[in-house]
Amino acid sequence: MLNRILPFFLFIWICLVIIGAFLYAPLAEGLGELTRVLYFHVPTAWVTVLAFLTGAVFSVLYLKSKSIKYDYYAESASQLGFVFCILATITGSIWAKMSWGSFWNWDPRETSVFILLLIYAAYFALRSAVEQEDKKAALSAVYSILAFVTVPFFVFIVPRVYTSLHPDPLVNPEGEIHMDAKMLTVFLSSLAGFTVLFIWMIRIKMNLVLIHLKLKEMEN
Amino acid sequence: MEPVYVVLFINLVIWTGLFVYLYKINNQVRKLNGKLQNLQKK
Amino acid sequence: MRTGSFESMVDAFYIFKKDLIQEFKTRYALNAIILFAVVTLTAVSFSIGVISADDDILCAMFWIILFFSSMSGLSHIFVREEETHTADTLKLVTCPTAVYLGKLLFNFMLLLALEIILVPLYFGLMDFYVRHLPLFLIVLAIGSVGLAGGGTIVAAIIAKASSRGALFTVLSFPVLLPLLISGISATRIAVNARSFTEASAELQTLTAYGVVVITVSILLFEFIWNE
Repeated sequence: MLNRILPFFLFIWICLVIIGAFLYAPLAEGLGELTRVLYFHVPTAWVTVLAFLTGAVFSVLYLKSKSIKYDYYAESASQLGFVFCILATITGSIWAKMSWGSFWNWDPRETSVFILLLIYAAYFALRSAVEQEDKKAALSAVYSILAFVTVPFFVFIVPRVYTSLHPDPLVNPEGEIHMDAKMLTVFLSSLAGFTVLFIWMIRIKMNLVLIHLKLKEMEN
Repeated sequence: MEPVYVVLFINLVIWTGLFVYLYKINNQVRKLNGKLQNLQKK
Repeated sequence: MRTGSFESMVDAFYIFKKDLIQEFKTRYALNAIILFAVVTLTAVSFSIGVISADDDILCAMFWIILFFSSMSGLSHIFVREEETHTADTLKLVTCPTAVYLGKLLFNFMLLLALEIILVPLYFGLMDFYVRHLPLFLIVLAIGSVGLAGGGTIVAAIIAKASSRGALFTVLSFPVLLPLLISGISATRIAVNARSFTEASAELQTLTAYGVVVITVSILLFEFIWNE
């Protein structure tokens, strides 16, 4: 029963977030109308990271249990992550154009989002190159864990080499939050809404995978 | 109409479209699951 | 199969020796990697010509040549085992960790050989002057460990996949990029004759990268190897 109500609740929640982002939240100083991108750009970026993490976790589970469903789960997480990654790149790029004057200038954040896109692309390329199912599962699981381990290095090294213009997402190094209460409310609700949306989407994908596997099993 | 309202409206339409799409798939998946379980019982 | 940690170290050394002997029969990987480096270097030097590039660009160029040359040779070590069907025998004789370490050692030596040829040539042809040579050499050594570590595990993945050639670079690039960026940054510091302490963040990243990638590879390798 809860499963039936939850989607409608999510629908209303995100509608409220959208309305809040456009009408309720005040504009930040110096950013003007651009502030509104924030409520959609940061959550998509967050979901990308979340999907990347989920994919790595499912990959570990696959290697531990060798049960093929985890491989499909990992693939689903990566597909969703890829979509959100593209969305984050596009929204970020629009923001960059409006506030810094160019769509792309290898800002550290832009570099890291680009790396994520590359990793996803490589992951899918690897998957398409291997035919045998269990082989494909093992190889891509290993690759996604390997990629997951190397990504944190970017966080350390990239800002040292390229100076960033990107505002700190939520909390800056001094530990202050640069948002007033109204903005923060909309922002956090948006984060929560997108997270639930991601969970819902991946649940649908996971159920589809289970059906697919059952059908296969029955065919044999 | 002010541009803000236009963009707001477009956003809402996109979200509604996405939601309807997801909701339909969700229902289909649920139905298929039920059918499969019935088949397996037989 | 021998699985003890000391025994697997000994086995790793034997595998390294075996690969070395095999390599010197044909010198396939060595030729490929060094010729690739020389060809790329010539192309770069030829196309830049009389225009002198500034040091920042030369540092980046050096690592790009190093990266793509290593891409042309590092995958060979596992592809050979698959192509000659000797992988199964190795599986019977020793544990995966020993195989990985042996291959890693071989790839590391291959990279060192490449660097011994590439570095003097690059210095000569590109008018590349490093003011802090010890720092540069240390960066190169630590960078090679990471490059060999990441390259070897991706090579193992690629050897099991059906399309071998093109995918290797595509798969390695995102994984090796942190190494590349910190390597370039550290080389810039070395070129501008600054001290070790200024490059400490880069050196730490390079070292940590090598350690993490090799550790994770040892943990994951058996899943690829036994596939």
